[in-house]
Formats: sequence, structure tokens, C-alpha cells
Amino acid sequence: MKFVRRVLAALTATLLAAAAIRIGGSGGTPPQHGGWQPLDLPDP
Amino acid sequence: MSPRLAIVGAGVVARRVEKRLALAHDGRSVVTVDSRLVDLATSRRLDGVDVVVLAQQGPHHPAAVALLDRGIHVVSVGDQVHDVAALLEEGDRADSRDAVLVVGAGMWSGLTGLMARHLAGSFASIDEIHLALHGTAGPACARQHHRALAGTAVAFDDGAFTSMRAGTGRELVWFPEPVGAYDCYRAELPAPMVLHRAFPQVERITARMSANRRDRFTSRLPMLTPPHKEGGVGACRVELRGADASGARMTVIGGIAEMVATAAAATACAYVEATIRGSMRPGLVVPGEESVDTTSILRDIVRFGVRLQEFTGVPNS
Repeated sequence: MKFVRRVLAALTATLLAAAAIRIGGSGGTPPQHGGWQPLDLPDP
Repeated sequence: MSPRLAIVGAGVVARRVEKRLALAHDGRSVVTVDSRLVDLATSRRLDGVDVVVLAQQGPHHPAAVALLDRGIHVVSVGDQVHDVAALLEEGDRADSRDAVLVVGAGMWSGLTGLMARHLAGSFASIDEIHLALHGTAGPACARQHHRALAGTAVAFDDGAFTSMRAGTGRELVWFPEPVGAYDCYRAELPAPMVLHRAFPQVERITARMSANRRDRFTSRLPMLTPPHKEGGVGACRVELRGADASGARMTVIGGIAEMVATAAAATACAYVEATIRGSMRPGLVVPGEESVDTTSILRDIVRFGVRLQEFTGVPNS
């Protein structure tokens, strides 16, 4: 029983840590400016 | 009357040029000629042909001379240094026959030269042009790529052409995606010679080619494995350095990521279109030349399926 409790405690701690990292991650949008863009050619 | 066109060669680039020219205009007559089997100076198949695209392997100079003497416009995609140097001396012959001779109309000198001219519009003065190339078209192109790493690299530096050992001068170059970053090295490429004609005021012109350790290690040996029928996605990158109107230093970078044969064929086809339109004066034409309407040729290249790109700075949100 003691072993099961330890396993459950370890799993819970892992889940809490993973959730904290996942929710706390900055994420954000991919770059919107810069990089390679299509070359503008003037209209005829 | 629709102009008659001919293609010399049977490789990947030649087939793609043929397909694009036939698609561009319904009913246009496109003849394919094998220069190993027929004499271009006398062949009846070329009677009445207006423009010939030279896309065969090996030197293009003898074929160009034979065709110019018949008064036929010539567009050459050749990229062997000695061959291109010989072609660059045929301007008077072309002029005297009232024909146009376009030299280096493939991806490596042609497209890079045109992009350099377009990007040069942002500058008050240009000091340096640096070209980098990645990838090959068909097997003949791959063999040329292999030889280029073992030859003598030509660069224009401080008002004079200099020679250095190919395969040296490593530089990490970022090409447009999906190609990304590759180490590039000096190689025996004609682009500096061609671009010097178009940009005589520029003090430094260099050209590098991507290679890995195996390419460099085996460059002086015969190719150990037969080349692919066609290489993967290739790329080219053109970097111009100079000053704006206020004298501030600036750098502008352009490039493409595309199958090399597609880019070479699109460039050659765009020059064919410009020749048919009569927008180039008879004589020698080098890519990036100021007297040629570069924008309309670039527009044709886009129409033929190549996406031109410009590096606009470090990506950010």
C-alpha cells in the first residue's frame, strides 16, 4: 500500500510539474516580420 | 507569324525549356536538335529558326559561332568558365550579324545577375556583390559542379580578377527555405566574369558554391557514384553591399529556392521572350546589363514558375 501511495504521489507531482510548464510557457505567435519574403516587382 | 524556336540539348534543362516555351504560346514551333548528330552551321532543321537555346552539355562556343554566322539569335545557359570567357568575346560577331547573343542565361549567372540589377535599384552606389549557389540540375550539371570544386576559382577583387584554389574560403550561407544554411566554398564559376561586365564599377564580386566534406574530399577524383537524374531543390543567394543616397552603408539580399533545372529553364525562356519582343539590341547581352529591361525579364521568370525572394531582416513577431 505504501508503494502504491508513493507511485501515485510521484505521478501527481509529475503531472503538476508538466502542467505548470505547459501553462506557464510563453508560446506566442510565429514570426510575422522579417525573414525571406516574396520580391516586389514594379507593375508594368 | 509565330517565331520559330530551337533547343540544342536533350538534358533536364533542355526538356524543361521546350515544355515551357511550348506552353507559353500555343502553336509556337519548337525544334529540338542534338548537336552531336547534326552540323549546326548547315543543318536544314534550323532553316527559318529565329532563336536557339543552347542547353547541351559541353562547350557552347562553337555552336554559338555557327548559329550567329547564320544570323540566328542565341541564348546560352552554359556555365563553364573557359567557354563563357570565349562567348563573351563574340559580341562583335553577334553585332555584325544583327543577332542577339545572351551569355550565362541559366540560374547561376543569369538569374543572379538579373536579381542583382533589380536589387541595385535600392542603392546610390554598390561596392560588392557576393553570390552563393546550392544544388544541381541534371547529371551534366552535377559533373560540372564536381569539377568546379577542383578547379581554379575566379573572383573580381579591388579592380582586378584574382584566382584562388577552388574548395577553399568556407562561408556559412543562409539560403531561402526550405534549403536553409549550407557551407559554401570558392568554385570555378563564371558568374564573377559575367557580372563584372554588367557591373563594371563594383570592386568585389565573388561566387561560392555549397559543398559537403565528401564533395571536397573527392573533388579531384572521378565521380564515385553516378549523379542523380535531377538534383533536389537548389537555391541561389545574391548579396549586394553599398551605400544609400546619404552615404550610409547598406546590404540587400535576394534569392530563390527552386529546382535548379526549373530556374535555369525559366531564365532561358524569359530571355527568349525578351529576344522575340525585340527588347534587346543586337550584340552581346549579359545578365544584369543596365540597358536591358531587367524587370520585364524577372516578371517572365516569375510567370515561368520561379518564386523570387528577398531577405527582409531577422524574423520577429
